[in-house]
Amino acid sequence: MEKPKKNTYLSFYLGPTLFGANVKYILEVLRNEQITDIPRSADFIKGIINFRGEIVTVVDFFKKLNMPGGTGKSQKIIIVFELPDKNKSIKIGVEADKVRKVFEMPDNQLKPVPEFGKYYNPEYLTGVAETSDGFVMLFNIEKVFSENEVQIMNVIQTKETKK
Amino acid sequence: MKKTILIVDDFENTRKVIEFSLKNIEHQSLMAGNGKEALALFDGRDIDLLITDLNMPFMDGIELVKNVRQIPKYMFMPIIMLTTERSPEKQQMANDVKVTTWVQKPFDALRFVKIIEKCLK
Amino acid sequence: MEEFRQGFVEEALQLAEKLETILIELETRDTSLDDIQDIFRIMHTLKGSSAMFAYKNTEYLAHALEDVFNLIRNNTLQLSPEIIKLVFSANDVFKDLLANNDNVGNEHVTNYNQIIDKIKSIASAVVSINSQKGTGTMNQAIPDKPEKTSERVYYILFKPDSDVLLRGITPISIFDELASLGQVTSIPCTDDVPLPEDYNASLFYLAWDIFIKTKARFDELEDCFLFYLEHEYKILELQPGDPTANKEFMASCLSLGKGNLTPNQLILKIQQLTGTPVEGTLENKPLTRNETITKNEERRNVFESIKVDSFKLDELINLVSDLVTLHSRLDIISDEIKHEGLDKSLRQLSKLSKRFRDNALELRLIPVKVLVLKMQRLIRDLSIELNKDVEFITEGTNTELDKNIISRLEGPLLHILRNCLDHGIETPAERIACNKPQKGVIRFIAFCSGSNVYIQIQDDGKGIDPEAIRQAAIEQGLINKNEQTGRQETINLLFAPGFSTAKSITNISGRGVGLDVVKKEITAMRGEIDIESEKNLGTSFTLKLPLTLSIIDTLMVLVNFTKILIPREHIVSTEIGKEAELTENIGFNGRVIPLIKLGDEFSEGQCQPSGQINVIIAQYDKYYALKVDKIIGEHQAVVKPLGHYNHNHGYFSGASILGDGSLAFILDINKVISNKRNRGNIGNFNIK
Repeated sequence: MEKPKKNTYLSFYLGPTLFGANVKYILEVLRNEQITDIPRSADFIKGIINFRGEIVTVVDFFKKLNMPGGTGKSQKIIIVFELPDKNKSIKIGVEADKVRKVFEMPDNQLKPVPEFGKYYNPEYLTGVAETSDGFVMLFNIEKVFSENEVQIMNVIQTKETKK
Repeated sequence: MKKTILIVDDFENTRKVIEFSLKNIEHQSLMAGNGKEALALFDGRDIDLLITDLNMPFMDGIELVKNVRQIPKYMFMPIIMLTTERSPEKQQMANDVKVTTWVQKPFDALRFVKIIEKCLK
Repeated sequence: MEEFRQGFVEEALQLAEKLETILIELETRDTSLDDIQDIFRIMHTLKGSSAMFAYKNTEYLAHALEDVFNLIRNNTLQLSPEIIKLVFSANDVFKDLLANNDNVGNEHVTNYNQIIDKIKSIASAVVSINSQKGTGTMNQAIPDKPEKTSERVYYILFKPDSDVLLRGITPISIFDELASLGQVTSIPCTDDVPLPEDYNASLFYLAWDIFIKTKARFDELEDCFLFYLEHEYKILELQPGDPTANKEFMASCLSLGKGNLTPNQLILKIQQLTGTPVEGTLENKPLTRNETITKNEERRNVFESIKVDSFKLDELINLVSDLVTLHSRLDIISDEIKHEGLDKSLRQLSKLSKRFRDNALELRLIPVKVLVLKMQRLIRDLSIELNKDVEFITEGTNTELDKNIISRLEGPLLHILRNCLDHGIETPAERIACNKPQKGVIRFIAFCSGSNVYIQIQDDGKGIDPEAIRQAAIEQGLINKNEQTGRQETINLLFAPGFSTAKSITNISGRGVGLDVVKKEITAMRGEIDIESEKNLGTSFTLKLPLTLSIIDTLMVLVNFTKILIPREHIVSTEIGKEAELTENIGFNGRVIPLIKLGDEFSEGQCQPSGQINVIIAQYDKYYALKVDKIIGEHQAVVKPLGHYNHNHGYFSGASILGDGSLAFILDINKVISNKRNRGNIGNFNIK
């Protein structure tokens, strides 16, 4: 019998909820990183950081994904994601509260996403993993970072043509 | 009489390309991937023409030609150096070890065949 | 095979480029024998190598052209502008074939066939004319059949090195080869043969003076000597007449120098060979192998420079800027530790890394020359299409610019040129009517001044009529009928989005893309563009461009605790402003200029104004004051993109990493001003 496909995930807290993302998109987890605020930028952008000599935007997932709440007050971390793009990869940082752990999960054991949720927006999730820590909501990383992008660009462009 | 041509190049593809360009010449070809392999092939055979690359692992073209020319039987054998190398220094080195001619890669196929025919004459 | 095939395609494309250069040169000057030889050789090489890689179509086309140029080479056919034009189109087909694995795209099939037909008809016309005319009626200079030139006499000095046998060559076989080409007379020279006791059977001691009467071409003769080194032989064409007057021949001829023959005996020998008595003086036209080679080398040098993957260069620049950043960080640490040895080493490192950076940046500078070929081609094609007669003159093409700028400059430059040809230069008839020379002139001038490069494109055409612009602008609703516009202001309407004067959309500069796109592109590179025009005298476009995009001199200021970098090139002066100005304008040098309070701009007026300093900046001869909180100092910034989601930021064009690892934003003056002009309103969606 063919072995079921397995993927490795990193679980992390956004506020009180445990989320997860496929590690193939994760470049690094940063601690104590100084975020520089950008005046007059989209509200879901926390700012930018100097990541190995490259400037990387850090986004606030709560605002980006229209989720209620926000990260806690305590010391935060930044997870740097890398996504393939047409020419080269895109790097984006996400502010989170705490990293939980790395775990493996076969694809056929993922549970479907509940239709409603208080702390998450179902359309950005691929599934739910049941772990010893409880349920972990798994982000569809490519979708999370692709969709709104188009919207934002459109908004900026319409603004420009309005002038 | 069928001529024997020894083709030496570290890339199999290049060897095939050379072999392909010889399709209209009646010959029998031998292949080697570097100078060491090539040198071993000279023993007990009658080779009429050597076509060799310059830059190869283990033993390069210059070293190979130098060694071949020391075999009395092959003292006057025509040798074609086929290479992408352009530097005059290397060309001088090739002249010093007495190659017959130097052909630049990528080569003009028609001209290449002409050169080979001339060598085998 | 693939590795080889790619090499072939690359090489072939280089040949196509070389061909294009020759063709363009040919249109501006007289044809020389070398050009024809070069084109012939290109076709020959292309034919051979494409055959090898089974590029049938390429081979066929190259073969057809090779035949044509062979006819031209033999003076059987005259090189006409039609042929040049045909070769131009054929060259496009070559490029197309090479790019598409020898496939003729559907849309090009007819084109390809037409070109082949034309070439064939040119070649066959010549052959049939010649066969009709037969012999005897032909002009002396023109040989009676293609491929077979009239018989000539060549002198060959053949002096193989003594190791020739050891190189696997049998020198005697040269005589068989030469004999197959024509009638040969040779005089051996035995001067170098040693005494028997010194004789070495594996060495070669002979040399010859060879005379050959043949219909073969020079290069066919040369081919016989393929295996010989340059100094081992020399071929001279002997003109009819007294060979002893040919100095080069006299210097080479072994028999004479060594006294084996008297000049008279020699002449007798040549006479026997040529069958004609020697009379009159002779023309010296020695063709030596050396000369042809240097000629080729020169050409090659122009075309072959080192190719480096541009990503690798970008990577290098990134690494270098990281090094610079790391170095400034080390400086800060060293200040705290205060260790003499460390200080000294750091100072050395500082010098080194600066030089390293400058060198690396310089690597990316390439001469604007690379754009010239495309411009020449465009002008050539368009002037034919529009029936205009234009000379294209370039100056300062060695001026260097960052390769990123060069590549982004191509589109705008070509667009401006299209404009010059379409709207500027008049038809020859119109020009004569205005007492202008029939041939129009378009000038491309590049020069460097300070940290900027200027590029001017001038034409001597009809110039811009401000009134026509004004009318068109009113028609297109860009300005109000009653609105008064100054002269320059009117001309600048050409840059307004969507502006077009073309009555009907022509293929040339219509297409709905106007100069506004050009301006946008130039501005995006931190450049400026200006037009000057005088009716009936011509138009001049001036582009001002930064030398490089990756490094920029700035003044670092503080606004709302955020570090902002203002490009030095825009800054006119700085002054202490009043504590809390409420006005929107301030006085500067006797004029009233707008005051842009950056603090308010960045926080939508929610921030307490603490600004004290006004930075006066200039853009397109207009002045603005930027209110900032504090000046920190000058900073040479390595420009980095702002990161994902921020590409279209309303105020900043990028950011820079400072020595301590913190970040500062590079202010985009153009954006600031245009935002302010639009009431500082960049919308209210999703913006902090």
